Amino acid sequence: MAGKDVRTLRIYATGLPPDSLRVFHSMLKVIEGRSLAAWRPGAMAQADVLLAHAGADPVLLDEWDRTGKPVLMVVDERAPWLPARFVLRLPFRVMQLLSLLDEVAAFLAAPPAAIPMARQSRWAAAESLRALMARGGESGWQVATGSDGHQLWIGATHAAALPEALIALRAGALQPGAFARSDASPPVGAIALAVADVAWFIGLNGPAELAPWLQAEGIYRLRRWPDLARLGADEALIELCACAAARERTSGQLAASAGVPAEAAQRFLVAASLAGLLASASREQEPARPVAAEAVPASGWSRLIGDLRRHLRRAA
Amino acid sequence: MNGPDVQGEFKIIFTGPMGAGKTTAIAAISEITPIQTEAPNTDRISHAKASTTVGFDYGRITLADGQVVRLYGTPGQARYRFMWEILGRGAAGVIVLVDAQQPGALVQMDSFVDAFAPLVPPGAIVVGVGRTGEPGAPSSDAFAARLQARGIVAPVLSIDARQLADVRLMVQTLACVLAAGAEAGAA
Repeated sequence: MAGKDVRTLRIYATGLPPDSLRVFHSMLKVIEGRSLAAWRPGAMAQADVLLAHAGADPVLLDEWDRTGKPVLMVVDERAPWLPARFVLRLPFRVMQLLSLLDEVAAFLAAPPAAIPMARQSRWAAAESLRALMARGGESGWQVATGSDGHQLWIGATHAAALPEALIALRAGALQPGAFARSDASPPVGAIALAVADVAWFIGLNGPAELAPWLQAEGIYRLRRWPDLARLGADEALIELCACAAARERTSGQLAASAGVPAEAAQRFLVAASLAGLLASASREQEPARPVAAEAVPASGWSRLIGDLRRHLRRAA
Repeated sequence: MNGPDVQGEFKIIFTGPMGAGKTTAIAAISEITPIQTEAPNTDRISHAKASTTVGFDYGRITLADGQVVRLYGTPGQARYRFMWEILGRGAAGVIVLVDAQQPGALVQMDSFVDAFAPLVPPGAIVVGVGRTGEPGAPSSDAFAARLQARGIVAPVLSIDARQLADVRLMVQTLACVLAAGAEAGAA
């Protein structure tokens, strides 16, 4: 990014252990000139972004939440995944920080409100969830209601829904509106689940097009696999994940590689993006170690792998 | 040399610590009664089960044209580590099984991934995590995030090794990873 005019963004860190805080400040110096924005440590009042450990002072987090600005949450190694869009897990590496800070910078450059109203209504649930996760969740409950009356609830640490609402969500029959703050709590009998799982299904079952925050010519790769056993997956989804993890691709390239319709690849990218699994690969990224060229099986094995997949398909 | 042995067998390795479900997983998907080398478990501190694999487990899947996919299960204890390299050499891929309820499950995953990654094609790893739903156990996301933190992008699946559908999903996912790797490498 050197030589270009880059926006300066200020970041305030709170709640990190002292060693981690020092490492974080060193990392900011390391990424200088390599990130989408020029990142500077700043006081909370002037900061554009908060970097907060999950155990940070809740009063401070509430105060920040009222600003509507993004939060980059830091969690300990064994902590459950947080309902937040930008999450780092200790110990993190400099390229992971760079990747996430670039995502935050891109998010700030194209906030959810900057889309036409017609598209906004189609993407209301996804956009509100995306904005909610960018702020690191809310202390109270947020609720979204589908046309059939089923409700999805998002809390500070997890999501909740009645069993029938979950079935509808997984089946794509629940098309929720925007999430909005509620003074009520989930009904008795509601089941807890990860917010990322709700995000996954909302993306997967949303409009058959790329979400407004993704670009048709954008190059994406999977930074982490979803738990396809927990979420449920057909072969096409496994194929999409494998292709997106193997190398960076545009939506069209992904559809062609996975042998699926363009809409399926687009929905997959939206789901992965909403669930925080997708990285934009338009710039230098953290080095991943997916299957590389040297791993190409001999042609005999390629045929055998195809035969094995057909065998498993028939046996299912 | 790592990666598939072009002249030899096509094999998939099931590995992981003692009690993670390797023998059970192979038994679930193998078309033959697996050949097992079990002996009384003398390490009741690591796991309470009565017997454990000391050599290897072997199962098989025969494809439509007669080609054979061989399934090998490694011993889980580190003292049989010499077997890991013997079995892993030339493997098409590895399925690492861990039990989320076991103490240090995240570290256990690391050690098996580190041991087998040099023996298989880069990325040809699938992690199956059992008992993620138990109280206090790390979720599958914690295992995936741990791999991500180390720059490894590999599928992590919540599984029950006793369930054929779950074992089939792991093998199917590994096959997709291998195919996608071949396609990406050829592009």
